[in-house]
Amino acid sequence: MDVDRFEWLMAGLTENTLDGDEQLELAGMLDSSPGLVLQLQDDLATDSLLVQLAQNDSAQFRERLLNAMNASGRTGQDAGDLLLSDLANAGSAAGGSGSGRFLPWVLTAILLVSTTVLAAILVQQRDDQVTLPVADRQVPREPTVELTSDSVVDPDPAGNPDPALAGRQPVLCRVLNAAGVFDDMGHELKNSTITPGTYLTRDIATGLQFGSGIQIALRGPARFELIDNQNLRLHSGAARIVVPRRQSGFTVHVPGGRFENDGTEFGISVDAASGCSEVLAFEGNVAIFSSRGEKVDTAHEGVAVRMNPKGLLHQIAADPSRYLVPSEIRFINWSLASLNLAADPDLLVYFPWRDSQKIPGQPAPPLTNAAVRHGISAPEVHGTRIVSGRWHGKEGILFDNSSDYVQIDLTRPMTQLTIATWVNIDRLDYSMNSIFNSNGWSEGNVHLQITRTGHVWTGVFGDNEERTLTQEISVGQWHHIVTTVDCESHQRRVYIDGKLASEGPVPESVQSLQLGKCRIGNWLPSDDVVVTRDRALRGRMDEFGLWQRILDEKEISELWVSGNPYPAD
Amino acid sequence: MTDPRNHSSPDSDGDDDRIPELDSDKSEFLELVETHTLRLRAAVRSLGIDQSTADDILQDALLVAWNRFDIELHGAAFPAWVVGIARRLVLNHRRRGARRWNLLQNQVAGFLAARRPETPSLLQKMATSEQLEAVRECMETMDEESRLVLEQRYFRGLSPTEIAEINGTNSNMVRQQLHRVRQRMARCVRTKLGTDLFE
Repeated sequence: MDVDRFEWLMAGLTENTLDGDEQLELAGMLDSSPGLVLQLQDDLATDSLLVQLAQNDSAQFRERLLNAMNASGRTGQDAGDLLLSDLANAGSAAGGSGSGRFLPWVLTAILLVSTTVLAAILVQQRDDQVTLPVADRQVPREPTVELTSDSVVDPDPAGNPDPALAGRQPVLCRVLNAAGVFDDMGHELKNSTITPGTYLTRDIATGLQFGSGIQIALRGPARFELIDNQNLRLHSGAARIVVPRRQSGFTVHVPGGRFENDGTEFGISVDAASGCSEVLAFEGNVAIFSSRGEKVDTAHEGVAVRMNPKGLLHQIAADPSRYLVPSEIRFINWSLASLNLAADPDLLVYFPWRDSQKIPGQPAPPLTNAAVRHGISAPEVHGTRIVSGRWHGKEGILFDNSSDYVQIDLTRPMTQLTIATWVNIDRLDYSMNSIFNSNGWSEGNVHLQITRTGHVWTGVFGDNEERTLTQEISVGQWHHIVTTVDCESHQRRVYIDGKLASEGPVPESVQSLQLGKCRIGNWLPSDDVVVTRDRALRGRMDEFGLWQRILDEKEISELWVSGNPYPAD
Repeated sequence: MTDPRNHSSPDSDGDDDRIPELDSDKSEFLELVETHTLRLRAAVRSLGIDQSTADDILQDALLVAWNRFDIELHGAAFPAWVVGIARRLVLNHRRRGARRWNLLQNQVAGFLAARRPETPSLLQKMATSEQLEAVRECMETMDEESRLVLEQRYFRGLSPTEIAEINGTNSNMVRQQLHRVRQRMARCVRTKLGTDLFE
C-alpha cells in the first residue's frame, strides 16, 4: 500500500476535502488493512477534541439537545430512522460484547481536554469578557489606569518619571503584539503600554519590551502579572527574557519560588495544571530562590532545572525550542498582517516572499503575485537570488548583477498609486539606483529610485520640479520605503521607515499614470538615453506591494510597524 | 408523570416493566450527556463524518436514546450505547438512500459504521491524575513547529491554506503535517496510558 497516499487521503478526510472517488479509495484501503482504521479514527477523534477545545461549544450542543428533547417530548416511539433491531444491535455494544474500536482512543484522548482545561479557558475567551481570579501577590498593585496606545508614554530609561504622568502609575512595559493580550478587565491591548497588573494572552506569541531595554518573548496561551520594572510573576506559558548586559536582578516569580537573572538571557516556563516551573539559562546564570526568600541553587549556563510548587528542584534536559526569540514574534506578527494586506481589493501586485517553497540546492520556484484578483500577468524574473529576508526563516530577493530584475506589466491606467517595499542596500553604484522604474521614460511613467547619496526620489514624467530630497538612507540596514503618487490631488510623497520624508507636486498636466512594463531593481532605458543607463539595484528586497490607491499616513505607519525587523525604540 | 413506553428495552430480556419517574430520568440522562458530551462528539466524528454533521447525528441518536433511556439499564455504558445508536442511524440512512446529511457520498462513514466494534479498553479504570500527567507530558514533548501548527489550525481557526500562506508552505503539506501531529499526539497518549495500565 502507498503510505503517502493513505496519509494524504486520511488528511483529506479529516479536512473534509475528499471527493467520492477518493472516499471510495480510502474505504478500500481501510478494508484491506484493518490496522489502519485505528490510525484514521485517532486522527478524527484528535481533530474533534481539538475543535471542541478551541470552540468550547459543548454547552451549546447540550442546549440544542435540550430544546429538541422538549420539542419532541418523550413518546416512547423510536425514531423513524431506526428499527428495533437496530437498537438491539446498538444496545449489544453497551452490553460488553464490543463498544467501538475507536472508543479506547476517544476515552484516552478526551483526557487531553482535561489537562488543558486552564489553557482552554484562556484561549476560548474570544468574545466575552475575560475574568481572572485575583492572583496572590507579593507586591500590592495599584489600580490599573485606562489603557490606550497614546495615553501613556515610555518611562525615562534613567528612571525619572514623566512629569505628565505625575499621580499615575508609571508606564513600565510595551506589548508588541498586534492582538491577543488582555488585561484583567477583559480589555484587549494592541501595541500598547501596560502598567502593573495581571494579563493573559491567547496568542502563541507575545512580545513585551520594558523601558529599561529588557525584552520578553512569551509563548502563550500565557498568564502573567507585571509587578514592577524588575519583577514579573508567570502563572502559565513560556517566557524568554533578554536582559541588557549592564542590568541584573530581573526576577520571575513562579509557584514555589523565584528565578533571578545573573546573566543576560534565560527562559522560564510554568505549567498551570501541575504548578511546576522550569528555568533554562541561555547565557549567564540564574539564581533560584525558595518562596521564603532563601537562595537554594543556581542554574548555570546551558542548564535546565525544574521546580515543583513546593520548591523542590531537579535538573532536567534542556529544551531551548520551547522558548521563542523576540524576532520570531515580529515575524509572526508580520505574517498575520501580511495576510490581511493581501486581501486589499486595491492591491495590484504583492510579493511577500514568504512562500517560495525553495528547496536547498534547487532553483527557486517561479515568483508569483500574491494579489490575485486583478489578473496581473505573472512577473518575469531575470537573474536575482532568493536569500534570507528580514527575519530568520523569512526570505527575500537579492539583486546583485547588472542584469537582475523582476518585470511586471501594468498596462492599466490609474490615477492613484502607492508602492511600498522593504530594502536593504548593499551599495549605491550609480547616480540613480532603481527600486521600481517604468521601462523607458514617457508620459504617465513613474520612477522610484535612490540616488548615489542615499536620497529616495519619486519621479513622474512631465515633472520638471526640482527634486525634493529625503534624508539619506543607510546601507546595510532594512528600510521601509513608500511612495504615493496622486493625480487627483496632484501630490507625490515619499515615506521612509513609517514617516513622511518628502513631498512635492504632480504636474496638473498628468491626469493619469500609465506605468506600462516596469522593472523592480533595474531600469530598461530607451535607446536615446545616453547617460545614467545603468541603474541596477545592489541589495536585498523583502516584500513589495503596489496599490491603485493612496495609502494614508496611518496605514503606512502600520505597515512599517508590522514589518519592522528591529526592536521598537 | 410516568414513562409511556409500552415495549421492552432491547437490552433486557423482554420483560422490562419498570416505570421510572421521568423527571428524575431526565436529570440523570442530562447528567450523563453532560459528562460524556466531548467523547460522544469525538466518537461520532470518528465515524468519518465532519463535525457539524456528526453533531446532528449525535443529537438524533440522543433523542432516540432519551426515548428508551433507563438509568439502570443504560447508565453504566451510556457512551457505547449512544454511539452504537449513531452508527445504526448512519447505516440506515445509507441503506435507504436518504440524502439528509449527505452521507450517501461518504463511503468511509459507511465502512466505519458497519464495522464490528471491538472490546472496550480498560482505560476507564485509570486514575484521573495518572492520565492527566501522561497527557501533559505528551504535550510537552511536542516540538515547536507542531505546537505552532495546532495553534494556527484550532485556536486561531485558520484554514490549511491560510496556514500555508503564513508558514511558507502549501496547503497539502499543512494537511499532512496536521495529520502527523495528531497521530503523534494520539500515539504518545496511548503509549503512556498503556504502560501505566499494565504496570
